[in-house]
Amino acid sequence: MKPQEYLDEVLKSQTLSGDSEEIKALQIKRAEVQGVLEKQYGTTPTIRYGGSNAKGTMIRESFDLDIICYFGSDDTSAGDTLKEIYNNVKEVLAKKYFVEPKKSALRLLSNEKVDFHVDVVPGRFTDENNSDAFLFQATGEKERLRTNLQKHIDYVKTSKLTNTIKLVKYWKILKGLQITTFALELLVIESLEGYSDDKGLDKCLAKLFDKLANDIDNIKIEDPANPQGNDLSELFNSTIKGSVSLAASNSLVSINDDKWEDVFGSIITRENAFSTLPTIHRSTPAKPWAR
Amino acid sequence: MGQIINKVSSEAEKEFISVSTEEIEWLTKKFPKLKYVEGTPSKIEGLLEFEASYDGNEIFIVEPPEHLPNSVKNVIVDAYNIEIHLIKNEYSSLPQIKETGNRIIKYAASKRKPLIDFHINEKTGTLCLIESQMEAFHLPNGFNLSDYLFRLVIPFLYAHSYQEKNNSRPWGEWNHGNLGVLESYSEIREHESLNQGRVVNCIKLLKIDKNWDVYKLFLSRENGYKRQWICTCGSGNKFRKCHLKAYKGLVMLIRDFESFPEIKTII
Repeated sequence: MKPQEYLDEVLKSQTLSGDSEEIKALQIKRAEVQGVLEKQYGTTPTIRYGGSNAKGTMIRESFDLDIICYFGSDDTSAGDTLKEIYNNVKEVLAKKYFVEPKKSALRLLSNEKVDFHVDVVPGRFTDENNSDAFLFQATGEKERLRTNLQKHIDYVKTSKLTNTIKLVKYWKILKGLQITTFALELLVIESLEGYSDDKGLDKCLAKLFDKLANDIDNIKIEDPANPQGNDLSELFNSTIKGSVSLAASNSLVSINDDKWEDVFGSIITRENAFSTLPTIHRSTPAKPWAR
Repeated sequence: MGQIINKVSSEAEKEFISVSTEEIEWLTKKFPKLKYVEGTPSKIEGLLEFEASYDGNEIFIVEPPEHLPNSVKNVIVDAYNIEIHLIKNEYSSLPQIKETGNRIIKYAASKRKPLIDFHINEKTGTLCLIESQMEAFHLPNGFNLSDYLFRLVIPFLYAHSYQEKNNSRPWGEWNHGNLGVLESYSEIREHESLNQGRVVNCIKLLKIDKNWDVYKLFLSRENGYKRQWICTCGSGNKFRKCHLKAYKGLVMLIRDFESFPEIKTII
């Protein structure tokens, strides 16, 4: 199998179709969460999909759903300060879910601690344009982060590197890297300037791994929503750089030897998994009924 | 074809389902823990073992069951005690099947839900594998043991195992009773052109229902404008807002019924 074909297969195995059970479950959960929030706040806050679902970079191994819940700049229904909004939304959600507070987001789990893969991100728009928003940060030096969901989405979606990003997200999981997905996306786009998925996923990855392995200190990442204001050094500190660079270096050795399977593992598709077995009966299942 | 077994010479003959000696040999080979018991009607009983996976669109059943790699999603290896009675009933031309291990019944009890929610007929205890109008779609060659087991029985049991494991069903289900009949009709008509036999069959199924008088009014259009119709599920809501797919099926059935003046008398 040629590298591009192999990577296409990896990508296929990680792609979640719109009607997959995982996506359906997320959509149901999203509607449920929206219902909980609207019951409390009415339709005042803007509730939207964020994260990989909106960017088109969701993968099977990590299919979290981000739901943003932004209040208007002069809306105080959830509190006056960002911290009050964060805590108020947390309390509302805690009536129905077990809520695990994260830096800016609230992770939802069932009361039995089953992870729903859903994060709610409370915030407040900076002005009446409802574009930029402020988020509360529970940890770190600054308590307030200025961001812009649409700019993040556009930055990734228009990069022409969404398939490469999906593969790199999968690579991150396989290599156990601690870098955040946000930082990783920025790293890919910054490192592959002039490249696109169309050029060949193998070429994109080879270039990326080369850059990460040999020149990581010269890569600068900036938040596209607030290039000067948001300090991302914590997301891309020397420890993270070291582990990413080492993993990239090892992967580069593998792909130079044409051993792509050492990077992403062997491909066992549904088809070839079954092909070794005696007989397969495949059919579209009938819907059951009852009289 | 081999010798036909399970022939009886009674008025009820047409209600029995025949299987050939070859099919019985096939059954014994493929499912050694199931056995054919001759009688009136004959039956197949024992443990049905399977391994299957579902990809969101199709179900894949491995024969014989072997453990698939973990990378294949939604793999379920399971076994159910079953009893298949080779006899038709008033709704279906297929054999009647019971899950004799009572696993589904116990599960329903644990969830405090009625058996009908798990597609078990509460009067007979039989499994409702499929809505009868859809039988021809899923068994295009008519009844044979292989298709019956691999296309209907194992997928049904797989779906239950999946529900036990994930607390949700892997694929959709029809509404109970006549709402399901109408939903099926709606779906069939999306793929099939107008067919008098289908219309007659659908009405025949509706006639068995306790709400037949209401459907009869709908079909004869005696109760006014259809947008005002109240749903037959008993909610008191408007039909089209309550069970839209069934409502669409009903509207289509009425239109189709009017295309065949020669069958007016069947209602």
